[in-house]
Amino acid sequence: MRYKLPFLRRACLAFLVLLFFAVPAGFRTADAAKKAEKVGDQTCLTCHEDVGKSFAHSVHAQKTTTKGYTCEACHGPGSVHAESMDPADIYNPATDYNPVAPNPCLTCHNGPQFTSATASAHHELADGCSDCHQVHSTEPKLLKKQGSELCVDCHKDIGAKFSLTSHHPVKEGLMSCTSCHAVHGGDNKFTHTDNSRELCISCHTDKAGPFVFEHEPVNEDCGICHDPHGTVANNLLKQTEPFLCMSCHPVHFHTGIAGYIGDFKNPLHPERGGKSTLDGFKSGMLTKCTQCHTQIHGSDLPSESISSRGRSLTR
Amino acid sequence: MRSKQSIAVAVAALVASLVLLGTGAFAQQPATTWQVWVGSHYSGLQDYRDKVAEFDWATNSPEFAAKLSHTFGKNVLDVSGLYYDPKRMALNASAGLGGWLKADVSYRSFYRRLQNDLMENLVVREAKDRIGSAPGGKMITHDNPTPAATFGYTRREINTKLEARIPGLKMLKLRLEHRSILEDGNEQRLAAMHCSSCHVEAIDMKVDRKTHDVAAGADLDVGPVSISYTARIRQFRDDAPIYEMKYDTAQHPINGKFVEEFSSRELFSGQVAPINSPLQVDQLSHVFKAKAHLGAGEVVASAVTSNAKNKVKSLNLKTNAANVRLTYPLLRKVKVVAQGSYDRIKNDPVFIDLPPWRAGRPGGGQNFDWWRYSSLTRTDMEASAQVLYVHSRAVRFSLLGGVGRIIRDDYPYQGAKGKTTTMKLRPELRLRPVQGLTARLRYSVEVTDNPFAPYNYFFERSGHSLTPLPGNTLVYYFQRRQLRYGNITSLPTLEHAVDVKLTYRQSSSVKLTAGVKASIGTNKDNKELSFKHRTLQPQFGLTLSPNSHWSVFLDYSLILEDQNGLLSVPMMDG
Repeated sequence: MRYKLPFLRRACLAFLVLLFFAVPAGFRTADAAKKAEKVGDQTCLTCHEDVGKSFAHSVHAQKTTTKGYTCEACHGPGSVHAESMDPADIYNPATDYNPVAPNPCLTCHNGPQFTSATASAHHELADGCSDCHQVHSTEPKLLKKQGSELCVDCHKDIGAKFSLTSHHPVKEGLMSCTSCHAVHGGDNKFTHTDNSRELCISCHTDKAGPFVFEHEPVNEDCGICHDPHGTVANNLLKQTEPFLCMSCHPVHFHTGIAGYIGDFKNPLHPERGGKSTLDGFKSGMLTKCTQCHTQIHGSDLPSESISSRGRSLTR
Repeated sequence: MRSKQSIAVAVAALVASLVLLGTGAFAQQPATTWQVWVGSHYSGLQDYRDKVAEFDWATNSPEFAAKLSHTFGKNVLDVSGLYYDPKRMALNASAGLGGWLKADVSYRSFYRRLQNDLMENLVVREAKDRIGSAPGGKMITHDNPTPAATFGYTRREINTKLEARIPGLKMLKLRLEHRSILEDGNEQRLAAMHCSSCHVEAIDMKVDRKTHDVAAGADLDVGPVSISYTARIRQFRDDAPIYEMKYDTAQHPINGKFVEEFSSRELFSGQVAPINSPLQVDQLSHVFKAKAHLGAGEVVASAVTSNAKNKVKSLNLKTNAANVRLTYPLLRKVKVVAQGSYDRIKNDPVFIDLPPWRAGRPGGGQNFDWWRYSSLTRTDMEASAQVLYVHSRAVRFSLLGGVGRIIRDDYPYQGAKGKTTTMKLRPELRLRPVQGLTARLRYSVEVTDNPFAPYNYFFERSGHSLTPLPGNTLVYYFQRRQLRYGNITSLPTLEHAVDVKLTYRQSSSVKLTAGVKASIGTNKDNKELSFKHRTLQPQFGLTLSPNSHWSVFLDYSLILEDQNGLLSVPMMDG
């Protein structure tokens, strides 16, 4: 596969030139804040009484260390705004968010869970932290909506997958998006671990191994066979068996054998038998590979036949 | 027994946190909110219960929920719980004492329904002709002694988290975490024997899996530098008993003769052998993290070293990983985010010692011993850089470029030369032309050289070119490996994706979103067989919140996916 590096180089160069000649626009609010002075909470509440009422019960109000100037701890000095009453004359985290500038919320919220927040895609969202958090509210964690409802508000495509037949129990309320995803920025793709396999086996420990007999895609990435959010096929499989298996493996060679039409009994095991059909081997070999290859995630036991070298994952 | 102990630990921790709160110095104006909910779910799943209701109730009775939130000065207490029945309940409690102590305890249990495979597709006897008129030798049969049984297990998860600061050492935070996952119930295990004829037995197997995870660590802030260390021990035990099955004597399926011939091709014949091997894994890991401010920028780095040991087989899986991320405002309006990661995994090789194939038989005695080199053993590297340009409040642009490479030391697939390389590019534009209206346009392209592929190739040539092994008169099944070719994969080598989204917030009470996602993946390595994977996802959402008491949501999303993948077809016998 040849990469079109010359094109990429040209694109990067054009982008840098664009940056160089970019018209500086600045942030008016930041300039306004520089000139302003603090006026204190009472002045703010003169007009914003309704906000003050709900905010009084919020965690921020309870935990503040800037008594008397609580509003301005986040919004910055408000004297210019108090005089002009122009919303543009005061910093509003919900509308004036600038992902390039230091995030005012992270001044206090600088714990380990936020270590990668400034590099995360969520950090670039339209309104930053305010996209998910309502600072003046009294809801737990000041979230606009609780649980997965908040995430699905933007990630509707993922929300839809949880309605498919096979899904992690998120819509049942038994898990939440944050069970897997570190919403403030994770080690990899917003997950709690640095690779997807490690994330899955932190709960599905029985699939982790290491096993003597391996199934290679299990070691590579669980996402090769599974879609964690939801699928039509059982067990979160991206396709139904046997088609998923046949994406890599040839069809079992017994598939092409013609079946006898009629009832039969096994001569050596008379308790075994049943109704045989012409297509019996096809339905036997092309329905569900894991009926025989049960240990699809790996096993420490060799399979029965020597010629398969023990790696058929049947026990 | 351990389950009860763990529940007791969780309850004790909760009580401890409540007692601690009771003795704390609260502020003057406490605020308490509470909510009690009594209701019931109805699930009408009678006909499809086992298929659809994997986690859903499918039975109906009252359920109760309650929530309490209390703030008092700098102290916080949140308690919530749900009770449906002993198998399905949840309890969460978190408490914060000023900035000195924080405790979180949660308990959650649910029931997961598992399938009972009736195996009705596994009944056939070979025909001597192609029209099915005369019975032949090969057979498939099954035995499910409990066709009406229901299988499933209860999953209980307990999480405890404690964070403490020491008075006088505000820069130091100590952490202690515990997590237990306990799964118990029954599952259907299928066990197959395929000599003298293929027969599958269903066995009611006990599920008894326990995972215990304990982590302790400390965070230290020294000026612009923060350092964190966590040691974690994870223990997994499958305490299910060992189940055994009598494997048929290997023989001719009709006349019972040729026992020596057939048995010489099997590991065991006419013997009782275990069908499961309960796993026991211990894992110890050390995680180091550091964050430092570099002027207006920030660098975050982490390193992990871990060793997971399969105690039953004495297999070690060692991982060493590191990643670093730099965030820096390059110009007043430009921020750069660069990151790189390195992941090295080494799994012990295992020598598989097998008896010779057809030992003592004419033309037999071939050695099938082999070294199992693990596909886990690999080096995974990734680097990316993103430039974010904020022109004004109305216009933002970002460009992400990255490259990743996986080097597989022992992967026995020659065509990929042991390496997979991925390059990606993702420009994104955000516009806010007027107050309340936000538009986002994201495009991404990903090019992969040698995606993951099956190690033993994809297709088979005609078997006519095969000749029997010396001293044999037949071509055997395992010889097909010589015919396999096709170093291709059903994963895409080129993938384009577009994501367009419009959000209109008319006021705090009305929000409207509309968008569409589309992607197409193709495999250019495979010119003769068409491979495409397409998705199209239109979406629409409306939120109405007329006042603080009411919110109405209307969401619609449709996923259209189609894939014409590869199907690997045998040429020898089919």
